[in-house]
Amino acid sequence: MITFRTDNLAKRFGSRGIFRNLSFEAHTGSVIALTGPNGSGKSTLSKILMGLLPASAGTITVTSTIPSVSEDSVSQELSLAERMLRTEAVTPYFSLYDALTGYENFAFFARLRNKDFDVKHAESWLSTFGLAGRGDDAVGSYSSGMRQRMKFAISFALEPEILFLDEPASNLDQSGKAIVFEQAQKIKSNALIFWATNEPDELQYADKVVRLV
Amino acid sequence: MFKQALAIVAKDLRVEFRTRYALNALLMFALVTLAAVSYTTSESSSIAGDSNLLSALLWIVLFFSTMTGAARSFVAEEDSHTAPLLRLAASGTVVYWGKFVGNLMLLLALGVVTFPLYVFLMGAETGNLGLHILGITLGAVGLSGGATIVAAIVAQSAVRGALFTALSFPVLLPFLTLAIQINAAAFAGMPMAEVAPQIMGLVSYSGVLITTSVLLFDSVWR
Repeated sequence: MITFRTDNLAKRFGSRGIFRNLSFEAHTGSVIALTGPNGSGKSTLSKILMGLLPASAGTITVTSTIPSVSEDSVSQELSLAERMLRTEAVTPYFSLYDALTGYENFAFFARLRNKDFDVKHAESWLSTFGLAGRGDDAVGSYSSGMRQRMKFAISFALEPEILFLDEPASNLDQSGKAIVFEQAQKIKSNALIFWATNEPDELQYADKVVRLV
Repeated sequence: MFKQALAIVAKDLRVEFRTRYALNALLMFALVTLAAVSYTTSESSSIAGDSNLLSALLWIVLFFSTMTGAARSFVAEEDSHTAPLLRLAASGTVVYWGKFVGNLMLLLALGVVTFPLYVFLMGAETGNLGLHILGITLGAVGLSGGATIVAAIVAQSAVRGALFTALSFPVLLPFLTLAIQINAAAFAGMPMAEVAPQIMGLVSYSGVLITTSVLLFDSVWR
């Protein structure tokens, strides 16, 4: 089980403060919504939590707890590299490789995560996200909605322990949104999900809401 | 880590073969400079016999062609917005080794194309071919090692083109000097033993530069 804890987290860009004194705790099995108006720092906070951007102040502590039958459970604090190894993300500022096919992108990110690439496994995830039979096409030929679906297929297939979804519904049609929300609920029991959104109807999926102003 | 770095090499080669950004820029630059050098020096018969000048001109072509192509390795990741996902998915060390090997393969391919053309266009004697191959290979290792970390720094700035050559030059000057001496000896037909100190120097400097780059790369990349 992953426990994510922030203490008095703050971010400034020069003299402009984005947020400060942000403290919360989250565990595997929950969806944490990061919400607030445009410019409130949802994406900045996501990047800091992912480890892609340093915080100006405060600390982030991530621990992994392995349940034990015979003794007490064993907790281990994760380094930044270990945390990133367990993290996947679907965000508007992450792109796949346009020159590679869907399968090639899939295989590349699986290999970076030390996981075997299996075409059947990949195809089943593509089917789940409505991209059946499109794995051999270059991602550059996909529409923006298809690219978004491909990002979801890859991220979900890699079975992340920590998952960041930043504006997950962007570029998706109604059926795409429904698939994403359904799949997120399915993997929730084994993952901690951070969900950055300013759509009020998406907050119903959250177990905890972190509001930025 | 080895498998992850290989995945980056394979991905970069696949993308390069499909887009040909770096390969085309690198080969066109090499061909244009080769043509310019050979046309302007064709009247002078003394150049074909001057091993130092022959070697210096060869490395000028190789160095500036490298500067044209190697910067693309990270600039392409930043421009296509694939760098943030790569940062999340792979450690800095893995990315450095992957990009280093990719750049090295590109430079060795450049050497294989450029060297025979250069010898032919300049009307020069090959001399000690084995020493030429060693000089170009060791030079390519050093240039790739240095160019990879400088390219990662430069990719995050706004004025990439000029900055890459300006930042690379002081780091790579020792390589250039030593590689020019080795290939000059090769053009003169000298045996390898004559330039053993330069070969050792090139190997040592490459080792120091690559080790330092691996240690620092995480800070640069993140």
